[in-house]
Amino acid sequence: MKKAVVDTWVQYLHYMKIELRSPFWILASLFQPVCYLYLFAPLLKNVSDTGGASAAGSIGSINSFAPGLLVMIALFGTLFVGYGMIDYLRSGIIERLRVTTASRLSLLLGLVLRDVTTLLVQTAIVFVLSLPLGLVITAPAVLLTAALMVLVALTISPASYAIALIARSEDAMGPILNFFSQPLLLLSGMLLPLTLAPLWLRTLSDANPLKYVVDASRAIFRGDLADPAVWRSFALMAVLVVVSFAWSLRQMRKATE
Amino acid sequence: MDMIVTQGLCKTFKSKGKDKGTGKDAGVEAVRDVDLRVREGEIYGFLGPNGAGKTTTMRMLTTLMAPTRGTATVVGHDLFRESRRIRQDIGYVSQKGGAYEYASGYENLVLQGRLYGLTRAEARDKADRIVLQFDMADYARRIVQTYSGGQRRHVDLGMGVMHDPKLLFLDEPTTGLDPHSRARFWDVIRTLRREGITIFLTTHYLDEADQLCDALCIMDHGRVVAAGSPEELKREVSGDVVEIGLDPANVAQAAGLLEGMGGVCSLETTENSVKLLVESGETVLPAALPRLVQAGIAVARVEMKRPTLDEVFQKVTGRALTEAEIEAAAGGGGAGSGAGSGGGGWT
Repeated sequence: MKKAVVDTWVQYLHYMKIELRSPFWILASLFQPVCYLYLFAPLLKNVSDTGGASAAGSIGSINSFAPGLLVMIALFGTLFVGYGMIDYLRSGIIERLRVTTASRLSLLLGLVLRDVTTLLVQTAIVFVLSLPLGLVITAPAVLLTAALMVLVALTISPASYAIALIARSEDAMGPILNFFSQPLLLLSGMLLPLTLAPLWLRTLSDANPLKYVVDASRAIFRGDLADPAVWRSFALMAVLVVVSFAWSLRQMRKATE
Repeated sequence: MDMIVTQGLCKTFKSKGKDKGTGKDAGVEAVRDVDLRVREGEIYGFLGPNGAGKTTTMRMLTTLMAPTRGTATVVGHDLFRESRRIRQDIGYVSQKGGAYEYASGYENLVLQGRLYGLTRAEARDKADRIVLQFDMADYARRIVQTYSGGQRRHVDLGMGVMHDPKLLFLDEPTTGLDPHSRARFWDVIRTLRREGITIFLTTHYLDEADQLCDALCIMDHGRVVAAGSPEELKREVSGDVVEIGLDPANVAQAAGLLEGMGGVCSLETTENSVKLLVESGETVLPAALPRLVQAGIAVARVEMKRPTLDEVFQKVTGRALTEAEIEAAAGGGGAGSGAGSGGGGWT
């Protein structure tokens, strides 16, 4: 047990060190959220100003848009981490690590915790950049949102590694990720609330786990921490984290056979 | 203690399609009934063309892949039940190496040591020693991405021995290296052996097996077709050829003296020499030369030629290694591709 913790920590530090050596990528990863905050969010304000449905009354507010944006960053920030895994697989790193006495779980956790850290930094930056746009939020709400983002990353990042271990090439990886990411994005209500959607689309979106995350983070941003959507999404994501890790560990064993 | 002992080790892969003839999913037998014995302190060579099952066997022995059946112990631990203990006692350097490109060689070494349970101080200490021992000081602090092929191999090898393994597996360690780098790499491997590390390496270079290995086995189509020391294997194929250069006037007399000597299998003469096929040159020569000298025959030159591993390979597999490589490439590397397996008449 102690060895597993040390192994995880040692690898986490290693991956963080490598990541911090190329600050360009960290800056580049912030470009998308900045664009959405400053170039897209103002559009929504006008949508609400020109009337629109009563349900859309709140969409002009940054408090409604920022939660969706955070979930979007969580999705796209962690969905593509598998590309790195393909490189590691090809260069024999995964095989070498598998023959050491470090456990598979620690190998995976070292990478996933790096992804979680990156996401938390991005989340913090979105919070800060939203303040000038009129974001009003309490400290407990910030922490609860961050916890929810961690759960999303802990689900999607291992899944991305699992997909990479199956795909084994960048060429195969791209289409697979698009196949998943577009419906996950559009059916979550990240950009526009699904209250605007026709009934069939709303029914379809019920199958998307990220919809519950978006609902929960909107509730948190409203200050409604006791909303049942909050604990429900936490419970759902906790289950998905376990499923995702189990899948990824299994693929890691198969990939080095 | 023997470092590796296997009996009847097999690996069958599920084949994607079903057998056309029987309709059954027979699977592909990549490794069939492999019996191995590697003694402590040896450099053991695992020789064969691509697709012979060398890498599959090595992946089983390094705990990466579960054998289908058979028994095996590695460093005294049961391969089927004690893979954790095996991992602590073995080092493994794969063909691809597996260093992090964007970390320095030194950082790669330290991290590897940490993953084997060394403390930070211990890992740094060991990495420092490896940098000195492998002569890596010039480049150890640069990132691996900038390394030459030979430099990379030194880092890979260094990672393989960070935790002082008793047994080190090297998969095709010198493939793609230039002759100079290869020779340097061999030196490092010999140094490791002197430190008491047993080394198990796969190769498809016959000269590498010959010069580096104390014992070896030849694998073809998933089976071990010959095993022994390079000398034993070569002796099994044919004896040594001894050629004694003489004054043309003395050739007939010398042939008469040497014909029928113990250990001489056959004899032929040329204009100015006598050629003997002997079981072992080092026993026949010391006896043959005094006979000639006593008869007053001057010896102009002496040459002894031993058979090469190429000839051994050709005999046990029925084809030259280069042909086997071409065949493996054409056949998509199928280890048990049926036709021609065991075709060398070796049983």
